[in-house]
Parts: sequence; structure tokens; C-alpha cells
Amino acid sequence: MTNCIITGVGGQGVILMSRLIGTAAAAKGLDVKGAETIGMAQRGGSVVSHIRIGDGAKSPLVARGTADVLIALEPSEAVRALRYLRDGGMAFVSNRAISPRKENFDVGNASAHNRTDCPRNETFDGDEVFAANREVLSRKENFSAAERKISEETTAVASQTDTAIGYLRRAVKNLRVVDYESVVSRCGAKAFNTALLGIAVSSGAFPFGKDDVRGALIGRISEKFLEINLNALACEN
Amino acid sequence: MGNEAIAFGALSAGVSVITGYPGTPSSEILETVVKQNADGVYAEWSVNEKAALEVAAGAAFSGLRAMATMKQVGLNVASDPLMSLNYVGVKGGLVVVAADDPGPVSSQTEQDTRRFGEFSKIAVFDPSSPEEAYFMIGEAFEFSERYGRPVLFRPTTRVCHGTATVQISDGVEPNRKADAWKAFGNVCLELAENAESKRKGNFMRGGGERVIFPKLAYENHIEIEAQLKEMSAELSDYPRNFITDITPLNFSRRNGKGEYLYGKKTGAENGRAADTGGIASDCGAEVKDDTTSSGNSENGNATIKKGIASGGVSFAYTEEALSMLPPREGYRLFKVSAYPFPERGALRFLDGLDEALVIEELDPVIERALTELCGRYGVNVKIRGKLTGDAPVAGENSVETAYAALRNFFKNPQKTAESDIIDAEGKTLRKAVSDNILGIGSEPRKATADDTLDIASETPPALPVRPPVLCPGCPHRFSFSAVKQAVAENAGGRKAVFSGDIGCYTLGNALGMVDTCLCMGAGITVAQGLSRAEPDALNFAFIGDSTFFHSGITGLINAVYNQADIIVVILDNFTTAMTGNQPHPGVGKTPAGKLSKRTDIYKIVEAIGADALLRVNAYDGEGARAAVKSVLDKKGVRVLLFEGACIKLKGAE
Repeated sequence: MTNCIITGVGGQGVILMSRLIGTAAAAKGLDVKGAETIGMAQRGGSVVSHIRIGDGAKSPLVARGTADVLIALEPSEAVRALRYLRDGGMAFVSNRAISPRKENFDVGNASAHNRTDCPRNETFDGDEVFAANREVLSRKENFSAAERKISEETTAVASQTDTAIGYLRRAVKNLRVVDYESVVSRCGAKAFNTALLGIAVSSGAFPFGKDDVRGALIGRISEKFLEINLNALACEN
Repeated sequence: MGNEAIAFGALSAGVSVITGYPGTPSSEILETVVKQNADGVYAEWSVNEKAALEVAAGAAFSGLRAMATMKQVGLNVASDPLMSLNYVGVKGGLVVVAADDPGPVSSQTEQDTRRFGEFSKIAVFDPSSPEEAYFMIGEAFEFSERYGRPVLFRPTTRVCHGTATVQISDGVEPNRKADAWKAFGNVCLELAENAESKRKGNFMRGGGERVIFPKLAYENHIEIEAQLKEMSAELSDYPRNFITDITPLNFSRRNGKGEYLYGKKTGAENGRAADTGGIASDCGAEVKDDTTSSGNSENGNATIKKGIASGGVSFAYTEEALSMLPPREGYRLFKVSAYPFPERGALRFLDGLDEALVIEELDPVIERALTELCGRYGVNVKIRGKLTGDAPVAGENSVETAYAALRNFFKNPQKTAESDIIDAEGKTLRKAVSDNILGIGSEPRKATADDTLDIASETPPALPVRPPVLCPGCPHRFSFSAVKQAVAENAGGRKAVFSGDIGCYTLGNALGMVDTCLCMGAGITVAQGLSRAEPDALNFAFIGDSTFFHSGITGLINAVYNQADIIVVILDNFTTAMTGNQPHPGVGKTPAGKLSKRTDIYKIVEAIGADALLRVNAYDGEGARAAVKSVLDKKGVRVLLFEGACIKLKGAE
């Protein structure tokens, strides 16, 4: 049986990664069990997926100290989930830290609001609302505060990475630190989760190979994003 | 996902009408049904849980199989129809799925729907895994139809959002479970009609049997009490309520992976013979699955003095923790999967024991039932669990908590690496997991020889705390910002209190914009109470669009009729965002995305007769501040309709 923990911050693609693993294993005829974090905590919170592959699993959760594989999309989350890893277990960890989103009134990235579609039906008379939205959002000064904040966060993140990775290096023998920048420069940021999974799979962490993950991608990813994901899967660190 | 398994199981059982209101962890059940787009199956997102259950009840009155889905607190909203519905009864099977949330992971309470079953005198089915849920939902329909009563189906978060490989069958097999039950000697109703022909209901007028009158209620109460006894007796032989003895002798009777042989899954039979496996021999059942023989011959074994009772996902944790221990003495295992409490089965479980430990989540339902049974029948067995401090009273269970309770119960010594699990031939099946690693009574993971450096003495680095927050670009943040600024600049020193409600905007808590949050729709009414107590303060109530339709409208009418002095901010993001962007009456789309009628919130508020009403673009900070400012000094019920589409809709459309 292979016990696996996938962790990261909400929005990084933890759920997709765990579903790819589940699909790939099921396609091999292996029994899969697992549990995911869904709902409120997904909004920028810590996300942990448990996956158990092979016969013998009863519970959907991996008990502490019994995970064979830990994949972390964020180094601090790797430290948090370390209690699950068994002695001698393998860990694959991205070296890019993400600062917790401290709630404030900053409105974020302007382009995020630049929507043109209307979610209501044709009888909706709110087109003016959306037009007004766009007009307001085009005013750049609304977002300067948010941009300032991002640059401040960058410095904090660097020290956070060093501390977490340093600790992991001392705590885990079978540790593979994956350099986010170098992977992303080759596969793009959109499919980093798939790239990290590919690296874990080619290290023999799972009872299936990259071809099985490829099959899972083809079944699960929309055509629009399929190619970048297939590329990312092929990418080696 | 367990919710998908429940949906497929219900479709396979021939459900024709499914209703629900979104709520984590239940929402994906109805969404999965919609995605299947099965012929003749009607699905709707109802305006709230009460409406959902009533619509389902009507369909069941007409003979169709119907299902209503909701989260546990949703059942509170639906409790009015639920209580009476049991007295009135149903013709077609009616299953109310109420998903409980131990933890709680995303709920207001850790309430236990099994207690609702006791209160409303309704049977409760409690699946322990997605696989079991798939089969059990069909059994629940069959049970409901046979007794003519609604049935509760209570998965928990780890079943709903747990994933597993489940072999599903194509098409509709309404009689499948009836067949399985027959194998165990139960008398099952023949459901002769196939499901396709059942898709059309036929309400029988004139009998008066669906009209609740005091006289009928009295008569039906008598019948319900008799039925509860009958149900308890039947459920004592229900294959999923089973008893197994494990003696030191059959410790070796494990498969190559160190599991006990009872309940072993058998590939394609996954969940059928398999899930019904492990039945104690005294159920009188002929068990075909040969792997279930473990323990049968020893049942009633006088050497067994300790028992463990469990149900739901906790049963899986218990089994796994037992295989990690394993106890050095024999024990008897009792899985409780359906209620009313199977008393006859429980007495067999208690027979000859000295003490029994109960491992269950949420309320001590099994524990209380066993304790009561011991008193009533003079059985001298010490029942241990939450009530005796032997198990945690709140929060989610896990293999770790089950292990801690079991180790204490069996008084097993501290585990070390030497206590590996060894089979009859002396071969190591599985390395023991030490207490240290499980983190029981000690800090998490200590380094070992396998690690490069001893980190036992090193404190892990401080980790970032990541509370859930509003998405980047969320319109609620703009709305909160506008209200906060307008109040700060124009309130003239008056105190402002912000009553919140249930939805993404509860996360405005982190912005200091949520002072109260009670339950769906309560923001508007709590604000009224606050203003009666403190008339000089400015009382704001924030409510989302879906919540407004769910239960905000009555509160707003109450405010207008009673001439309250409050400011209601309706945060209209054109969706039910927190639960995954389900449509609602203000969106004007069906669950399948087809066009429907749209109910205009603005016109509703206008018709209710609010003293002031303004439509505001949530993203227009300046305009929004001006709107808030303009109503601050007015009196009466002032309503601001903030419109700004959920940022998640962009991807969804």
C-alpha cells in the first residue's frame, strides 16, 4: 500500500494533483481511497489531500507517521504536514513560499475584475452595472496599495523559504527540493503542480508511471490546458 | 467522491425527484445527479431546505422515489416538515440526506443527525465509506418504501468528500438491495414495477391519509412506535449492523497485508457481498463470502470480555487502529450502521462482556443506547466512551484518536518498533507504528536513524497561519470597504454594529465587519433585536443573495412591519458562492444551466415596503460610499442592494 499526502495552499492545485493520482492508480486497477479539503478552508487556507493506493486501506485518512510520499507545493505546508511522513518516506517540496493572505481592504489585481460576461440570463438588466464595474476598475489608482503590498511581501517570503527548507533538509533524508523558478521557466506557472507530480512519479514514488498520469490528464483536463499540462509532466527537474 | 457515490446509488435505486439546498459537505450529490442528466429524473435547487423536503414529500406521496439533500444545519430548517412527514407517511421511498460535519470543518455546529432520527422517530442510515454509501442509499429507499415512512441518510464529511474506488452498475436496479436482504432471510416487499414505469406518480385522493389531524396523529403515533420496534428487530439482522469476535487464535487469520479477514473486499463484488461480509453467525445468515468465517465459530466465546462498538467512518478508523495495536486479548466488534438502535443485536454484542468501548463521532448515540440497554435488561457491562471520558467529546475522530482510546481500553503497553505484526509463520506483515510516530502523548514526528540529523531537540520553524480569506477581487471586500469608510467618515461618533450571515461574506470577520453570525437569515433579525436594545446605535445587517432568498425575506418583512431601525446591505454576487456557485432564484438558471425565471431582489424589497432602497455597484467605491452616507441619517428600514458578480463566475461561465 502507498500512503500519500499532498499539501499546499488553496488555489495551488492540490485537489487536481490528488485526483490525477487517484485516476492514474485506478486505471492500473489499484484500489484507491482518499480525502480532500473542500469548502471554506480552500479560500487561501492550508489544504491537505490524503491518498491511499492499494489493498488494505480502511480509513480515507493517512495516519500520522505512515505516509510513504509527501508532495508539497509550498515549503511551510511541507513542514506542517511532516508529521504524516513515515521514517524513510519520500518528500517532494517546492521551494517557493507563499505568504499567508492577511485580510485587508486591498482590492487585489485589477485584471481580475475585468470581466465582460454576464452571469445572469438574457432578461437581466444589469449590463449597466458591469459597464460601471469596468469603468471603475480601469482607474489605476485604486490598486496602487495592493501592488505596494506585494513588493513588501516578497522579502518576507524569501526568509520563510530558507527557514522551512533548512528544517526539512535536516528532518527528511529522502527530500527532493524542486526549484520553482527553474521548472516554471520551462513549463509555465499554470501547470507547476503537474510538473511536481511528474518529478515524484519518475522518482518511483508511486506504483504507476508517467504514462498513467498522462492518461489521467487526458481524461481530466480540458483541451485548453491539456498541452501545457502534458509538457509539464514531461519536464524533469 | 462519496457524494458522487450517493448520487449514483440513488439513481440506480430509481430516484425520480431530487431536491436540495447547497451546503458543505452535501452539495455535490445533487450536482452529480444533474450531470448524469438521467432520463425522467427531476432535480432542483430549492429555495431552502424546508421547501426542498416538502417538494420531495409531494413526489413521494404520489408514489415516486424522492430524495432531499442538505447539510446538517439545513435539516434544522427542514425540521418542521420532517417531524410531521413521519406521521403522515409516504408512498414512494423518501430519503432525506443530511450530511453531518464532525470537526466541524465548515459548519456552525457539531450536531448529530442520528439524534434527529430519535427525536423525529425516523430510521437513520449511517454509511461508513463511499462504497458502503453507494449500496446503502438503495437500501434506504427500499426500507422507506416498505415501512411507508421517510428515512434519514447521514453521511459525514469524510464519507461525502472521501474518495474510493466504487464499482457502479449501469441502469436502474430498484430491487437489487431487496435481493441482498433476501439472502439473509428477511421478508422483502416485492417491488414488481420497474423504475421506468414508476417515473409517473399517481396521488390517491380522498383517503385523507396525508392530512395531518390530531386524531390521525394519535393513531399514527401508535403505529410509528410499533414500527420502531419492528425496525429495530429487523435492523438487528441487517447485514451492515454486524458483530464479529476476534480471538487471539484467529489473529493469524489475516490476509497477507495484515488485515483481519472479516469484511474483506472481493474485487468486482466490492461493496456487495463484501460490504455485507463479516456478519456474525448468530444473525442466522448464510454467508457465502468464505473470508467472513473469521470469528464466526468463536462468537459468544466466553473468553471474550471486551467489546468495541462503532459506526460511520469511525468504524474504519477503529479497524485500522486495531490492526496497529493489535490487542493481546480477544475482543468483540459491533458495527452499527442503521437506527432505530438494533437492540436485539446489541444484546448479543453485550452477552458475556465485562466492558465495551464505543468509538463514534459527534454525540454518544451508540454509547447511550448501550448504557440504557444495560440498565433495562440488567446486563452488567461497563460502557465506556465520550460520557466516561474515554473518548474525545468534540471534534473529528481519526485513526490516531481511535488508537489512543483503544490502547487505553486494552491497557496495551507503549508501542515500540518490536511489536511488529507477525503472521502465523512468523513472517513480518507490517512494521508496527510506534506511539511516538502517531503523536499520541508526545509531540509530532521524532527523527530516527533514517534521518540525516537528530531534529528531536529542534523546534520546527513558526508556520504561517492561513485563515480562509475572501478571494482576490471579491466584490464583498469592496462592499465592506465602502460601508466601513462611509461609517467612519459620517457616523458622527455613533456606534455601528455589523450583523453578518452565512456565506463567503462571513469571512468579512477578518475585516472587522462581522459582529454576529448565528444562522441562515439571522443577520436581518438579529440586527432588529440589537436596535431594540440599543436604539442609538447604527445597526447594519449584511446578507447574501442566496441567503436572502433562503430565509432573509421573512426577516425583512418583519423589520418593515414592526418599523425597525436598521440598514440592510444585500450583497448580491449573482450566485451561491461558498458552496461552489450554485444558481438560485435571483440568477434565473436551473442547476443544469438552462434558463429559468428570475426573481428580482430589488422588486421584492420594493414590494415589502422598505423605507429607502438603493441599487449600488459594489465595485464603485465612491458611489457606494455616497449611497451608504445617504441612508445613515434616515430612519426606518433602509436597504442597499450591492451588486457585484462573484469573481469565481468568470471561470465558470
